[in-house]
Order: sequence, then C-alpha cells, then structure tokens
Amino acid sequence: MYLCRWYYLAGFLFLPFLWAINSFWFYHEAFKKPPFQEQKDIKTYVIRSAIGASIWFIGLLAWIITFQINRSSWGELGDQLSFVIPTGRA
Amino acid sequence: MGIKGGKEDVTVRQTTYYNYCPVTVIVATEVRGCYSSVIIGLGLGRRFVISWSYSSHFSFVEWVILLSVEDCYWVENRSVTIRVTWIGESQHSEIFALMDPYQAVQMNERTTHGDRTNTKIYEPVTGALACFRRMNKTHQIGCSSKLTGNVGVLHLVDSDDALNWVSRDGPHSPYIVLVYADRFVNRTTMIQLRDSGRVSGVLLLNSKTLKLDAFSEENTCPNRGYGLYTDPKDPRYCEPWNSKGNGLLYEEWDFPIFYVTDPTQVESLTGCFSHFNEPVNGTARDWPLCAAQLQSHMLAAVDSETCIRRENVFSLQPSRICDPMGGRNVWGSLFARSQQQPYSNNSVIVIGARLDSSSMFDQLTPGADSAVTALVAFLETIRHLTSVKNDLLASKTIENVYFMLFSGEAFDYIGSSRIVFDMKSNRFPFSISDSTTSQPAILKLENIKYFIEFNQVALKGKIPPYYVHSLNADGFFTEIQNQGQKIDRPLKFEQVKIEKDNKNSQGLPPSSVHSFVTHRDDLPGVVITNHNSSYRNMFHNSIYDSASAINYEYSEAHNLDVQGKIATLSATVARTIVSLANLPSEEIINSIVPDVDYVDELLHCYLEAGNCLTFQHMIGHDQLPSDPFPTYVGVYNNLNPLAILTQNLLSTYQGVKVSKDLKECKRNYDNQTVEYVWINETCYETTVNWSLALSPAFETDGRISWSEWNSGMYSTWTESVWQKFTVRIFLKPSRTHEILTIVFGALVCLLSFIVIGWVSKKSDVIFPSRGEFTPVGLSES
Repeated sequence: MYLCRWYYLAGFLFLPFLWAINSFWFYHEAFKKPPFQEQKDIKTYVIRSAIGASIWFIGLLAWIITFQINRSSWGELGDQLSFVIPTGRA
Repeated sequence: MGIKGGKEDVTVRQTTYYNYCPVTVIVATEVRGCYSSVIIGLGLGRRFVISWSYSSHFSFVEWVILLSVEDCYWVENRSVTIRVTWIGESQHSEIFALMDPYQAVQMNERTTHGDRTNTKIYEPVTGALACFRRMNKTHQIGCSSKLTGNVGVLHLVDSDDALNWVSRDGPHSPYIVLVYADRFVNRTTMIQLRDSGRVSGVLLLNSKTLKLDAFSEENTCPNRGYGLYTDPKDPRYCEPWNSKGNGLLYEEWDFPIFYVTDPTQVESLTGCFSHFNEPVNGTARDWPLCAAQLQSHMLAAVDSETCIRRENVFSLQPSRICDPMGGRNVWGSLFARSQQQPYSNNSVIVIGARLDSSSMFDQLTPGADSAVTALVAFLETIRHLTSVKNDLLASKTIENVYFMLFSGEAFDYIGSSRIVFDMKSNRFPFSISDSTTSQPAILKLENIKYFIEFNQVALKGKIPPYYVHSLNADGFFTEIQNQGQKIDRPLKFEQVKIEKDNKNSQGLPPSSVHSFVTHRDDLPGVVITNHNSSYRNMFHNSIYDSASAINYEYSEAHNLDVQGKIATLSATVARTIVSLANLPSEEIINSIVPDVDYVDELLHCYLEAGNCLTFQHMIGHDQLPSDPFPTYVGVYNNLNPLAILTQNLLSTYQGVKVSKDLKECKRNYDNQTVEYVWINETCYETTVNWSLALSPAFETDGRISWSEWNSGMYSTWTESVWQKFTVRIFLKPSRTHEILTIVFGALVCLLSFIVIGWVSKKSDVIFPSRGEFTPVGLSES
C-alpha cells in the first residue's frame, strides 16, 4: 500500500513509466486478490496511474510521430531537438 | 616536424588475400588535414617496401601494403619498421613504429589459406574509384550508398535493349548497371536509369579499345552565376564555353557510382554477368544471379549550411561530416619588397593560372588541359622572368611581377576570390601588424597594371592560333602580338599565332580574371587560351582529360608538337612582360628563348609520372607515386601534394641558395619579405609563399561567415566525409531461397532451445539427483 501510493505520487514528477509500472505491478493486488483492507485505495491509485500513463503514452506517441515526420522539414530546429542525427540524409 | 602537434597512433593488421600477404597499416591522427598525402614504408631489413596513398578526405587512414610471399617469410620472427612520411610543409616527417614480431609470424601463417566464410561468399573488386557527395548553398550533388551498401543484380547496358531491360522489363530489379563510357557519357541514358527507380548502383567500366570523341562531366557553362555575369537574363550568364559538357558531375544520384579501372576486374565483372545473368533469347535467367554490393556512404546531406550546422549542434556523436572545399594558393613575386616602399597605382603585373580541375571520381582528376598545360606555361614563363629579374629591377614602369596559382577555381573560383578578398581588406599577403618590422608590401587591386592568366593552352598541328581574351587591355594584346611575330622559331612545331578573340559579345571565358574584375571594373585582365568561342578541349574537367587527350607523349625529339607550342607561348609572354618594362636593351628580350626540353620535362611530371626526377628533387627523396598527382582541389584543411611540389618548384626558380642548415632555414621575423625553404638539402631564400584558398564565405575554422555567405558572390562548396569505399560481387540466390535459409536457421535455433530445455528438465534421468544432497548455504537452519 505504501509503495503503491509512493509510486503514484512520484509519477507526478514527469515519470510516466513509474505510473505504468505501478499499474502493472499492483494490478493483481487491486483486482485479482480477494478483498482486503487497503484494496480500495490501491484500486484508485492503480486506475489513476493507468490513466496517467496512457495519457502520457498517447502524448509521447503523437509527439514522436510528429517529430519523425517533420524533423527534416523543420531544418535547424529539427537538428537542435535531435540527439542522434542520421547521417547521409535530410 | 611538420606534423603540427598531432598525436599519431600506428597500428598494423593482417588479413588474407590470395598468395600475397597484405599488411594493413592504420594511422589514426588527431590532426585532421594531415591525412592527405602520406607515404607508408614498410622496412624489410635494409629494403623499404613503399606504398603511397593520396586521398583527399578520409576520417581515418588505412593502407594495405601487399607483400610478396618471400617477403612474408623474411618478416617471420623479425620486427618490422613502419615509416610514415607526410609530405607536409617543406619538410617531410617520419614516425617509426615497430610491428609486433608475434603479429608478423601470425601474418605469415595466415597468408595462404582463405577459409573465412566472408572470403568464400564475396569477391572484392579492387581499384574501383568512387563518386562522392558535394554540397553548395542549395543542393547536394554526387553519389552515396545506404549505410550498409547498395545491393543489386549486375546487368551490362551496352544496347538500347539492355537499357530498356534494366529500366523497364527485367524481372530482377534492383539492378547494378555495368556500363562503358560510350553510354555513360550520354546524359539522357544516365538520367533514364536514375529516374526508373530500378537501379541501385552503377559501375563504369574502363575499356582500352574504346575511343571517345568527347566526355566532360562539367556543365556547358562552368562556374555559372559567379564572377562578372551574375544576371540570369544576361546572355553571357551561360555561354556554352564547354559545349561538350553533360553536367553529370552536378547531378544528384541516389545510388553509388564507381569507376572500375583495372582491366582484370572489368573482365571478372563482365564474365560474371555473361555467365550467370545475361538473358538468353530475351528471357531472364534463373537464380542464382551474379550480384554486387557497393558501399560509399556519405555522412553529409542536404546542403552546406545543414551539414555545417549539424557538426556544431549538440549531439551524441559529435564528429565532422563535411568540410569546405579549398586548398592552397601558391604565390610569389620577382622581387622582395617591404611595406616601407608601397606600390604605386598600375605598377604591378600579376601572372596567374589555376592549380586544379575536377572530375566525378575520387583520385582520378588528371586535368591535362583543364589545368596542367596552363600551369606548365605559367611555370615556364616565371622561370624565364626570374632569369632576367636583375635587369627588370631597373624598370620604372613595372615595380614588381607577382605570380599566383589559384586552387579551387573549378568550384566557383575559390582561390582567386579569396586572394582578391584579402587584397580588398588590405591583408594580402599579410595585414601589417607592426610598422617597424620589415613586412612585405601590401598588394592592392589598384596596384595591378595587368592581370594575365594562362588557361588551357594545349595546341597541336598546323599553326592554330592562341587566343587572347581581354578586358580593358588592348595595349597588352598589341604588345604580345608584336613579340609573337618577332620570336625566333628554329623548329616548325614551335610556330604559334596569337590572335584576339573575335566574339567579344560572348564576354570573358570562365577564368580567375572574373574574380579580379568583379572588384575593380577597370582592371586590365587578359586570358590566354587555345580556344575562341568554345573549348578546344573535348574532355574539360573529366576523368579522361589525360596526357593522351592532348596528344602528349614524353619524348626525345620525335613529337614535340604540344611541348613546342607551350614553350614558344611562354617565351612570348615573358618577352612581352619584359618589353612592357620599357627597358632600353633588346638583349634582355633576345636572351629569352623557348626551352622545349624543359617544358617536356614539366609536362611529363604533371601528366605522366609523379615520381619524375624534378619532383624527386623537390621532395628530397624518391618515394613518390608513379601515377601523376590528381589535380582535384580537396578540402581546405588538407595538404595537397601538387601545391607543395609546385611551390617548391617556384621557390627554386625565384629563390637564391643561401648557406644555412636545416635548423636555421626558417622564417626570420626581422625580415618577413622572404621565406626560407629547405629543398633537396639546400636552403632557398625566396618570396614564394602560400595562402589559404578558402572561400570567403567560410571562416578558417570551417564555419560560415554569414555576410559573405549571403552576398552570393562566393563559393559555398563543401565535401562530405565518408568512411569507406568497397565494391564486392557475390552469387545471390533467389528470394525464396534466402527466406527458406533464414527460416530454416531460425527453426534449428528454436528446436535446439526446446531440446536443451527438455533435456535439462529431464536431466535427472541421466544424472540421478541425490535426495539427501543440500547445497551449502541453502541449508535450513
């Protein structure tokens, strides 16, 4: 319970993978295990983590697609945003 | 010594290759720009096996020295000295590295057996010269392969049917096209192949029997848009000076192109094609087919601005990907003159020529008439003038004669535009830093009385004329024609006529004069050439612009046609300059006579043999390549051996021998009007020097200088960096065969996992477990 809550809160520090891990890790505890005392809270955290992670995922995916499509046409901006610039092409 | 503070790291590697034993020497250096001209010597006892390499642009250097089998045996258990000699500055420097004797033994063992899978599948095609990528302000041109190389099925395009087969009908696309020069020269053929999208590479094959009438990869109007005529509406903007130009050099090819020069390699390629691939009665052959893999991946792309920016933005793989093109301008003056005696207006004669030409392929830029003939005429003229320089000193009308060789003229006048830029900014030769020291006098555009350029001067046959194209310089033409009539012609082949170009509406042909007149409208400029309204040279800036294209042969008095005419022209120009000096004596003029033998020797050095005696004297040793030096300019931070050799040659003409030893033979800061150079164990005091031939559009660190860049007046060419060029052929099985092989491999792999997993699960069948055994540390306590 403590860990689940901690992961959930830490996820707000722009750490969507933490949310993703949280929702996977505690999925079993939240939904599959027979009810126990803290399960309700865990359920909330897991659902919220999952929602947060998927928003992030969609956002990142959108950005990656936009970036990959437009990198070469953005010119200088595209190069400055790149860590690894492919050789020998635009 | 001359390495400029670099740290070199020499490693040696051996591989297997037939019955030779190749030793690969890899030299890594921290100094870029030193790679260009290097001699590798492998010491075998008292003998040195020499390998010479010239490359304009490698990000590291690697040479393969092929040793004979006997040499390999000799090498056994001995340490070997590797000597790397850089042709740099005026000296050469040496690095010694010891090859590990253990490696030497290994090398010996590995010589005869080629049992690596790699060598069983692929056969390398050696000696193939690559087309590479260059960029300017707006475009990329040239060739590049994918990172891992381009693969395709070989097909010889020697007929229109074959062309249609490759570009339309053949079932085995993509193709690697084999083509001879007679088809390659045809622009529409090449464009059709490119635009079909079914070609993944081209191999241009060398043929001894094929005789071409014309082949020029250059545009019809070289250096269009630069110089005097920059308005596209002006008919002089693009006059077809180079009427045979097909412009292939300036096309963007999205596949690699190689030129295969070695006849045995050509044979193995065509043999492989006819044996496996050639369609029988119009039907395609079945797999396996002969295929090739071409690798020439270029790191840079898009345009110069993009590639320079990408070098400088933060990225995870910081490295150089392109460099501005350029080299060295070599210049000197007849007399040393200090800044305390500034020149008066219209008092200096400048003689010029270009030091470079271009072509589509790396390392093969012979530039016979595109550069060398004019260069030789230039050198011979300077030699004549230096022989009478003490008399010329008395002249009241001519205060000095400068001679300048420009590098990078083939790429929008890099060298000349740089010198003119420096002159305009009052820093040619150097900006005055301190009025008390003896620095050389500043040369300004206003000081120039005439700028006289040699440009393409090969002539042969029955008294065809040399043409003088001039701007604001009618006086010069009258004088040169006068001298041309007076000159002694002891032999028939030396006869030349000098005529004025009769098509002035065409403007000035592409030449360095443009750079000068652009910045001073009334500057008298003269171009002396062999052509009137279009080039006589049918091979301008091409791989075939070699000695045979100008009918030159090193000879002992049986065919001195080309040599004789150049010698006479040089003497005539030298006499003209002396007569312009307004000296009383005719004797001086008559002392200048054509020297056919010397011109012959110079042409031999520049066109036929890089290891000619004259060049050996200039370098001080005989470890020079037997092939002629390429005239391609390269990138600005590399040392072009041609510029260095020519600078030394000029130094021996103009300079005087002084008794200084190697250590004392260096610049004296109390008198900077002269340089000291060490040539062939002698110290020369000379005015001959070099300056950086880098377009004013670039800073000296290779970045863009924005105000000049945006002016559009200066060259913006850069050259991409590449990692390696390889060509190899192999038998390619059908697609289904390839897929079956990989699926089978994957199945075997999977099966082995399953079997191993099953076996380890059932392992107690073979290794019955002892129930009472408990591993130490896991015992429950």
